[in-house]
Amino acid sequence: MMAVDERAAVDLSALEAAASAVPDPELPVVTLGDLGIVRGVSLADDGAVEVRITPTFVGCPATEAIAADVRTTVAAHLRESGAADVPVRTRTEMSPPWTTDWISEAGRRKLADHGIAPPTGSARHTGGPVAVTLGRPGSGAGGFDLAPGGVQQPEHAGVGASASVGAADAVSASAADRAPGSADSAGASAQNNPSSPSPSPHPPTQLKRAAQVCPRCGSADTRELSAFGSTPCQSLRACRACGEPFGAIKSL
Amino acid sequence: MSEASSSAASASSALVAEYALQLGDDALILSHRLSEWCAHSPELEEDVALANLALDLLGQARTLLTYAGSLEGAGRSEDDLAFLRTEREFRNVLLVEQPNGDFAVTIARQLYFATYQSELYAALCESTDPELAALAAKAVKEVAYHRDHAVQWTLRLGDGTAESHRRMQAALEQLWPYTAELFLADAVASELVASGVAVDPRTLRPAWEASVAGVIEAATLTMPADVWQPRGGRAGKHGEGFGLLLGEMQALHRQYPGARW
Repeated sequence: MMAVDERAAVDLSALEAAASAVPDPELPVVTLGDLGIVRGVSLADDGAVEVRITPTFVGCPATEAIAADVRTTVAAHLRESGAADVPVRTRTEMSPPWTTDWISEAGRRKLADHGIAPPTGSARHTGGPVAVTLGRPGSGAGGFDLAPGGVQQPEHAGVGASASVGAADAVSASAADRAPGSADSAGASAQNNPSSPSPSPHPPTQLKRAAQVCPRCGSADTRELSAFGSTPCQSLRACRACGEPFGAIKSL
Repeated sequence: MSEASSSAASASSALVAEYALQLGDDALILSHRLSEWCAHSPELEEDVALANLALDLLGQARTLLTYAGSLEGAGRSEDDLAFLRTEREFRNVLLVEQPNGDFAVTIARQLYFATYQSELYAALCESTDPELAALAAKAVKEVAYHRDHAVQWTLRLGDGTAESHRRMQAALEQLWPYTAELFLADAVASELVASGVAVDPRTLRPAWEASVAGVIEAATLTMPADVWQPRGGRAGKHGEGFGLLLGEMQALHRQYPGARW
């Protein structure tokens, strides 16, 4: 058991601030606090300081490094405040599931300044079945709508002919966020247009995600090259205005 | 404690461990198959994409295997379970262990399995087991991207050139027999369905089939017909190629026991 004066030396909010200030090992321009990775710090019954953290993507290879960095930082703080004997551990909590919605405004700005487009729109996935709308590009009337549960419904008139698949809420959220004449819908139809000037050899995804702005020139006229990039959290996009490719944090 | 959670608590830990192992082995073996494409994919973006899919699946496998090991209570870690079990002890379905074949075969396998995982995890979010529900809530969002990738490639290959169409149709036919096993309820799953821990795989079939049929039709391909329906993966009876797969996957760990870097 710890002596009373050792217990008093443990300032939990200061430790949480310290843990939150730890830079992300893969994207060191943002901190764990910016990413919403630190859930909280508490004093366990056995006298140890326990930092609760959340994994981001299930297969994120930085998870162990993050936990180790957090333990090192918190232990250093305890030593400085004279509580060097206090054990430190991290606990991974998966629930509620991490979402890119937890990335702070400051974090989003830092990512953009670093050349990585932050996620846009709301992730808001309910975990329900995925709605799939399919249609031949340009046909307009040739598609059909598979609502969650697989019940076939005729595609309603006026819905664009592009195929889209993805979380129903993410689709509706991004559709609600943008006016019909937005850059991304123009981009989407250009993707489907066979005479588009620089068609990607890679099949363009038609998952209707909210437009992500070019971090170099600020244009919203960007297209997705691949949903998969250099890290599990990033997709690869290219700007039509300035031509540069850039990584973009996927909305999850 | 509610009736549901007390049933979950009293459901044998060994059974839940078995169930977690089934789902974890599915993810682990498919992850390994996808990783075989590294440096061999038809184009650079696909090399990155398939590696990303493999990494997501590996994350699912690590979580599930670690959970299974902790429930089993025999001190087996995720590494012990992945690298030291033999063929008859693996619980994955036969579909995920099928060889990659050409790119169309890999995409057909992804179409069938990612659609299945998408429906499975959506339902598993309601599991009375909090660990499984938590993993499902995370995995379902990531698997939506896997499903999108498979759908887009099926559309492009089916509705592509005569060659890509021929290969994609052949791939769908070749792997179709293995899809039946996805929806078989074995003793483990059946017993856990009552306590709300597991998803009854039979309930996933209608939505899965409607979705896959829709994609196949939009891709100008033909839905394969039911012929033979192999099974046995859940009982540890795998194909002849499985030993080779494990040989490659487990070699390093077995040759250098206790290695660290």
